[in-house]
Amino acid sequence: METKMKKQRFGARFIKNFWRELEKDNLALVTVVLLIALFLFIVIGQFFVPSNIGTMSDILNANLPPMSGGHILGTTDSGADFILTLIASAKNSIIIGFGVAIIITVISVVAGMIIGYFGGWIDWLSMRIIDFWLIMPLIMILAIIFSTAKGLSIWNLILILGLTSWPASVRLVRTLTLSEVNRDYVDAAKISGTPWYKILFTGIFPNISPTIISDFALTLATSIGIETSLTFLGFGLKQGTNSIGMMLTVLSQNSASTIYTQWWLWLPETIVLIILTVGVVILGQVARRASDQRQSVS
Amino acid sequence: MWRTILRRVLIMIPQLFLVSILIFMLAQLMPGDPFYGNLNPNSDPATIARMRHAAGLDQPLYQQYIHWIDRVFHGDLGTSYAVNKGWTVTRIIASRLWPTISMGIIAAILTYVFAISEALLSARHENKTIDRILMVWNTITSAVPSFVFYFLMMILFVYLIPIFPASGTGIDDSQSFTTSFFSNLRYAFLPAFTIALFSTNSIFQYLRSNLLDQQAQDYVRTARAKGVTIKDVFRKHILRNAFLPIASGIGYSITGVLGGAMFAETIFGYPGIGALFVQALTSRDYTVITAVMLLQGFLALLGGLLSDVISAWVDPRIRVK
Repeated sequence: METKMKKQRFGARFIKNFWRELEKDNLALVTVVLLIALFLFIVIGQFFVPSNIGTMSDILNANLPPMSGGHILGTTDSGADFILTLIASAKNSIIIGFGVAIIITVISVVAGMIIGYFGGWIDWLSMRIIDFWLIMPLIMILAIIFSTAKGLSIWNLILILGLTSWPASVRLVRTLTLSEVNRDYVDAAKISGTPWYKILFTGIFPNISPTIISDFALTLATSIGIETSLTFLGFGLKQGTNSIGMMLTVLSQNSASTIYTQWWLWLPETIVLIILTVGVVILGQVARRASDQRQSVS
Repeated sequence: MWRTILRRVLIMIPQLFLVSILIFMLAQLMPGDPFYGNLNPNSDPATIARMRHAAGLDQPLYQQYIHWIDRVFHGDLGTSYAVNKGWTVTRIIASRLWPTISMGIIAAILTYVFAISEALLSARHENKTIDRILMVWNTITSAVPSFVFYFLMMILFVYLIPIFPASGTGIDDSQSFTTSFFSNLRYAFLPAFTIALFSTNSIFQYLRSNLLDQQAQDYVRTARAKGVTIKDVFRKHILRNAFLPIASGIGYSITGVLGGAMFAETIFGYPGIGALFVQALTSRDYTVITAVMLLQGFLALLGGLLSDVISAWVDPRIRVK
């Protein structure tokens, strides 16, 4: 009963703090509004996207300039409506970002807290593995794995990214846990016989969650970036899957003068990509500030 | 000090071993074998089996690994069969190495110059407009995939304001070394400048919060109370203390050079190791891929070693441990 009340209070306080942070920071307010607008646009736009948009080829209507043939931003090189392609691509980016961020956050919270809590040889061994993996060139390893797979489905890509990109987050959670483990409340819980998993998830986790929230947002944005970059180089999603990286290949396929004069080929998806990645990171920062008790009290 | 370095070098041996296993496993992942593309499709299966046997491809994995590592130690990395057909991989890498090194060094220097000046500006004017702008700038450059910026810079400085050459390295073996060197600098500058401009975030954030931490320390207040100008406190105390942790990052910055060069070199048409890697992946030239990965793995370990040595050198507290 009492814990439930506390949780409600926390939720309400979080929303109040969140608005207060947004009021203080005009830029964050603008980004969050843009991000929400983009989300709504994608969600509503979903209903107009034909299911074959990735694989269709309508050569007669391909590469139309904006404002022609009933297409506001023209058509892509496969003849699909540009805006609808962009919506489908942005949706895939968001799915990939969330998918990878969820996998990595679950791995890092569970593993990082256990490593930090128990210490000893578990800590020594896992830190050696993590340090080793962190200096490896992840983007090159991913490029090799992706290129050998000859084009991935979204879910395989999420799985591979999630299972390879966790070390930095695990290390972060471990550091956070280490700073909590020696506090009095943990000692008190240990002495009173609370099992370790309860100490971890009801004691330590709420205290380190603000930073985990912003790390989640950062991972989300980074994953979108990695997928877009590698798909752009040709080592990512398989042909026929809509992706902002795939759309941006127009940049490498055309000459500089074409890119300069035909801005509509690359500018819209670049803007969407920027709003998406920057917006998510800034949203994460605001959420961290809003949920960090120590900062909001002062 | 020397004992610290020696111990750190000894740690590198198992690490090198691990890297080689990792790369060998990645190489196994790639479809096809060294005869890929060289075989006559009409060869009879027995001939193919004989060739595979001669190359040791029918042996168990651990034996193949030992053979492979043995050849690597003797400097035999195999022959390319797509990027520069018939060339040995060592020759290809040697021809591509200098452009990447020159670009990497300029990029590293500029990154530190940009990041340090941004952080100093930010910390001196905390919460003022310039600080806000720099924070937002670094958030944007770190969140958005950098290849987008590379394109914008290329359109801007190669097409709209054509002050930089479009593609190539400017290296000409028929010219004298100095001519070749300076002409290469002209080609290397734009990609290096672009990489540096958009990768300041981690050093900037770290140095900025270090500077702010140091500014709030008691010794700064004491010095200010004694009448020392804020400029002098900055120069003599704050900078020195805040820079210590940054110095150790220099080694680690080597780690990411090739990964970043992949995009910069491909987009700016600057044929170094990064572009070679992309070319090799696209044409499935596995001997070249494996060799580049080995080089990168070695560089990464070297960077880690350098970082640890630098931090032990500048901060005696680490040595005691």
